[in-house]
Amino acid sequence: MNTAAPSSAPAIELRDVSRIYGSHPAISEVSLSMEEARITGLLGPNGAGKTTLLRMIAGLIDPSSGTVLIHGRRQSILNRALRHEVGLVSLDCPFYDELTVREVLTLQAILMGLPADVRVARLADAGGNEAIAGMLDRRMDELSTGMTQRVRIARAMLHQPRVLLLDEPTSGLDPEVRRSIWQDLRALAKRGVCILMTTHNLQEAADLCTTIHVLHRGRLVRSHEPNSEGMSTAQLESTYFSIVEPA
Amino acid sequence: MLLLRQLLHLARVQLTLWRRRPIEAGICLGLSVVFLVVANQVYTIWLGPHVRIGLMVEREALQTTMTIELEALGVSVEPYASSMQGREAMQRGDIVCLVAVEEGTPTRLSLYLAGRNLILDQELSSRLLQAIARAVEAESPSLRLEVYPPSRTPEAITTFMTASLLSFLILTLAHTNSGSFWVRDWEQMHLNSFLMTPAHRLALVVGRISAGMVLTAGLVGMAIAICRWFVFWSLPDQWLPWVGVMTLQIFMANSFFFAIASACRRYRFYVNVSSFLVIVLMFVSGSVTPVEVMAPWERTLALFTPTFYAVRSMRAVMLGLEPVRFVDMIAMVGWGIACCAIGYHQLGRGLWPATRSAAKERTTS
Repeated sequence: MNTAAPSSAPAIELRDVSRIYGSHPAISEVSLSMEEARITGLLGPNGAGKTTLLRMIAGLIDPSSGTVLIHGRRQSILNRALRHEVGLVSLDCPFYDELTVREVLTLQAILMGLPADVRVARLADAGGNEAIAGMLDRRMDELSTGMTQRVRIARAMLHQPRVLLLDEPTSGLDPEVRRSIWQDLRALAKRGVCILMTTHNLQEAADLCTTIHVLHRGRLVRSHEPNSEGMSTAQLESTYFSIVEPA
Repeated sequence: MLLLRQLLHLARVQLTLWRRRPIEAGICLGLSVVFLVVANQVYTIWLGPHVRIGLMVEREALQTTMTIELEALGVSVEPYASSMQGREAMQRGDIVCLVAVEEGTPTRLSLYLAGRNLILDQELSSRLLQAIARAVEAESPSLRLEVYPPSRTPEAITTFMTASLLSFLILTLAHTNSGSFWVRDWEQMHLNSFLMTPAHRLALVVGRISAGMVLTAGLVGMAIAICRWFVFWSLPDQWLPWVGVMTLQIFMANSFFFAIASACRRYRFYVNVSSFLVIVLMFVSGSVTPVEVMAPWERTLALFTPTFYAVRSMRAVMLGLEPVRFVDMIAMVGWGIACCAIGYHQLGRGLWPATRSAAKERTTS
């Protein structure tokens, strides 16, 4: 994990965050906080504002109003120091297809400013992941979708951030790979990482997430804790559709 | 130290990406050679045996002298009995021009040009003037007609042309290899992967512009080496100033297209803007129309373009007729730094291709 001193502040905190594109409000006054060692799911139909919210937390775009805090520190496009705290797994951060997995991870390690010895150790660690070990010298354009997604997660975790953001991490993957990625995410959460993921898969949200937030038309409309509420996938589905498809 | 390591690694990655596209690399090199060879041949008006010039001289001795002088230019000479016949042949397109010397008081020496192609007419009148001057001088020792510079060898003409062609080859290579990499990274959002890291933007800018410079220099070097198998032109006597001028041009061109790519951010937009700019820059640089004969407003425009300084300094260093001006070097460095600053600023504008309204909204908020 990142060696920054643990703070009592929430891992992620959003205070009245809004984001407007032109005249279209993508996110309207969203406030929520997320703790470490938990997996939080962000549900919502297409265009609800999930990805925009993730980008603001990652510091890729600034909110039009409101504040995003990571461990009590203000996130923004220009806050390079907070990049050590956050890892992002998203199609919006693509790879160069011509590079090998090793080259992708090395580039990331150098850009993250990891010292040479740490870099070697982390690369070996990424190689310790059986799935990645066998493909370190393969080019990105030779990998399957599942393998590519694993490399995305490995890249985002290379600098051992305390916050991991995932934008639809299991979309388009077969059940076996999906389950394996769930196991990886649970293991990361156990190690204290705060995980925030967007998903369209209600079963995934119910099984994996400790907290679920539902976004609709840019607003946070409902929050659940499926495990403590004893909520099944069917109940979550029913609640979800009552929100996004009102009678 | 970290910044240096990051920028060197980014440059290495950039070169690796290019190396792993061997077909694109091969096509790029091939086209560069074709450009230098073909443009050199087409751009220069070569007077060879295929160019037929009519000659009508009433006095036999003068006719012999003039035929020798004209044939020395490499052209074919077609004799005519009267200037009327010669002009008719010119109208039919049998000859490109007619030189006529009619006896009388005074003796009249006429040069009839076809008037169909103004560039050809200009070139012919300039070249024939020298041949005619020599013939007249041989005929009348008391008369001396001199034109300076006395002659232009084909090598000198090719070197002169190559100086501007090299400047445009550098510009084109920077456009296709450096600018297009940047705009692809904007459009496909590769830059997001970089900007999600704490690495300094300066490492990205310097690293990738350095890689673009190495790439452009390598391609230009290889193209020059291959091109010289097909077209001969003199290499400058002094290598160091030549390499210096080329390095400055390569830096300026790479920075220029970095700024354009970062401002456009969309491939289609970039191609529209940059292709048009290359053409405009070519015309106002003085490589097609000499700056000396441009209208005042065109001359002012030329002073504000980077290629004007690039072509002028390249000609100076390759022909050796005048020293490389300090102001040209400063202008190229200034253009390069200004463009880098614009591109750098664009990187801080936000990662996603920003719409005008989004940018405006950011400003107001």
